[in-house]
Amino acid sequence: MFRSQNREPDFENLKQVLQKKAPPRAVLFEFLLGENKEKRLTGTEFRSSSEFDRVVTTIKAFDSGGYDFAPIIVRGLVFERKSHFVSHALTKSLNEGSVITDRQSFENYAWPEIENCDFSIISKAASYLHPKAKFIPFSHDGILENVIGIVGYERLCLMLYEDEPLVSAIFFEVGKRIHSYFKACLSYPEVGAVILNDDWGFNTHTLISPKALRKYVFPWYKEIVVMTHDNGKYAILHSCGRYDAIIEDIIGDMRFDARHSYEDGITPVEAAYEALKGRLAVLGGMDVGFMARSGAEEIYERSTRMLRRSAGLGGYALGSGNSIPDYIPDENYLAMLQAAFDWENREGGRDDPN
Amino acid sequence: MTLIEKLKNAIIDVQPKKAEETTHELLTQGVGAAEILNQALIPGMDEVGRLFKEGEYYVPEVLVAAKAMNATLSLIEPLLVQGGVPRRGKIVIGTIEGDLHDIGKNLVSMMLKGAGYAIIDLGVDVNANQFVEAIQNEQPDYVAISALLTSTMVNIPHVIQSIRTAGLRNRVRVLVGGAPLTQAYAEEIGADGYAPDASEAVSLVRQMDQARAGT
Ligand code: B1M
Repeated sequence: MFRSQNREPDFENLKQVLQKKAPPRAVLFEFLLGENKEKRLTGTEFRSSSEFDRVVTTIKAFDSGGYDFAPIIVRGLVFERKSHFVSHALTKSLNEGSVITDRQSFENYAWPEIENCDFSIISKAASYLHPKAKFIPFSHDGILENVIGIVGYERLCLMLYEDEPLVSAIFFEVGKRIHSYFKACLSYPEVGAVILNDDWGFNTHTLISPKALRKYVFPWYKEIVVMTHDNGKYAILHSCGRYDAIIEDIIGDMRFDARHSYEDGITPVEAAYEALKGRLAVLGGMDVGFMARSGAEEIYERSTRMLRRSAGLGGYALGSGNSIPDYIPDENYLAMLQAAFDWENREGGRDDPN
Repeated sequence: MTLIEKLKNAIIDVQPKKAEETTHELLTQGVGAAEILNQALIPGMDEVGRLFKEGEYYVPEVLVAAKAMNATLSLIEPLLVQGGVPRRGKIVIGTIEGDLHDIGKNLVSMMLKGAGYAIIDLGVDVNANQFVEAIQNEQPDYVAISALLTSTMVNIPHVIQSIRTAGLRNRVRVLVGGAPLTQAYAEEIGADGYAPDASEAVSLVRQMDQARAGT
């Protein structure tokens, strides 16, 4: 257990952040942890031989790391693509999976059905969750990501010009399934919020124009966020890439409670927080490249500075800019956690530690 | 509007069919391939690059414009070769070893091609030996390397080292780009240049061409 015994998980802390308020202690947020990081956090309790084992391991890893929640994915809603496995590759191509190339292949595509998902894993796994912690479900890729996955990115770009009705039809089929997925997740009392995970941009632009996003993607998320709020829960957007052209859509139109994913090369989290505080909770933001290449001390200090910046104002949870892949050295990740643990020991985290 | 302007606009307005038809018309009228390249294609793609840089165009617009450019290029390329029209320079490009991400690299290739450079695309997951071999075989002016993650970016210095070991370092300029890269990292690893996006990659190569011509 990395957290101390008196830092008990309590979703109420994260809830304060999602309400853009100041939590009573430093709150941590992460979307994904690499397998080795989960091993490090769970030690001898690490299990991965079944899906249920993996879910329980994630619950234990997030508990050990001092989080107030555990992310969870319910398997089964997978939009099949062609797989192209290269054993030593660390990345994949967004062009490679393409299976829908025209109307005919669209008609023949075997769409995954929500009935393939066994949502009861949420209540079954809940017995491993700390009594005050909650689940935050996410999906196997978001709406744009899945459409890119089955069409291929470059083909999708051309299709937007060459066969707009087909593009609309594909987004509709994907969108309604992602909507149903979150609808099912939201019916569980163990769920406190949802992560709507969909990369919309890259370092300089959105992946398709804001106009196209507004037409094909955002209406679905708007509905999912309404549904989330109607259930008394919170909607977190995990979306990478440049977002300035769509930030008003995120806040004003789709009405997300929080946004996750920040990169130093786009808008460092410090600047993002200054621009967004009070309107949208800012989660994470310690740039992944920075966490991979800096020393643990630098990470500890930047994390502490970020906690100091947001102390009193609220609406911030400490975490990485994207996730903790295993190429971030363990000690660097642990330095960030330590910054949160140490912060709360300083008069409720409100004083200046230096 | 002249036919040359019509072709240039077809590229800027992302209309591949119109570009192809207009190129046919131009060739039927006896307009030279070099004129089509220099007066329509390159300025057209420059404008597309500017619109992308300014945030008016997104990747889909650039890709459809590149399709229009390719429609023209496939018709004039044999004539350029026949006529001995020299390309502006040769660039070997690839995504670094361990990395299959190709979108950024493809965009950079397209923009450089549209700027009149000959592109040798080595694809993705390209290791140091493959880069060195390509330099030996193709004798390019530049090598452009793309990476998606910090974990793959760290393979770029191995390529630079291998180029040095092969005694080729002063024969090529090494340019780098991709989401996790920065100007500072490019300098740290001894690359000659860094471009944050595809249109900047074109500007960078042009600046370097000018600097070389001036020396
Ligand atoms: C001269 O030579 C030159 C010059 C210019 C050059 C050049 C060469 N090459 C490129 N350029 C430049 O010109 C191009 C056009 O202007 C640009 O090319 P790009 O390639 O940058 O842009 C393309 C047009 C589109 N770009 C993209 O499609 C990438 C966009 C972002 C959002 C992204 C996406 C979409 C994805 N990802 Co991920 N992803 C991110 C990206 C965030 C970002 N800022 O880019 C990044 C790259 N991802 C990241 C991470 C961490 C990960 N991702 C992952 C997964 C994914 C998805 C599968 C969801 C998806 C697809 C990934 C893929 N393989 O294509 C994971 C692993 C990836 C894998 N196995 O492939 C995972 C490890 C997450 C996890 N824990 O599992 C981060 C890397 C951080 C780092 N420093 O290492 C990241 C920066 C996001 C972030 N918020 O921090 C310029 O960079």
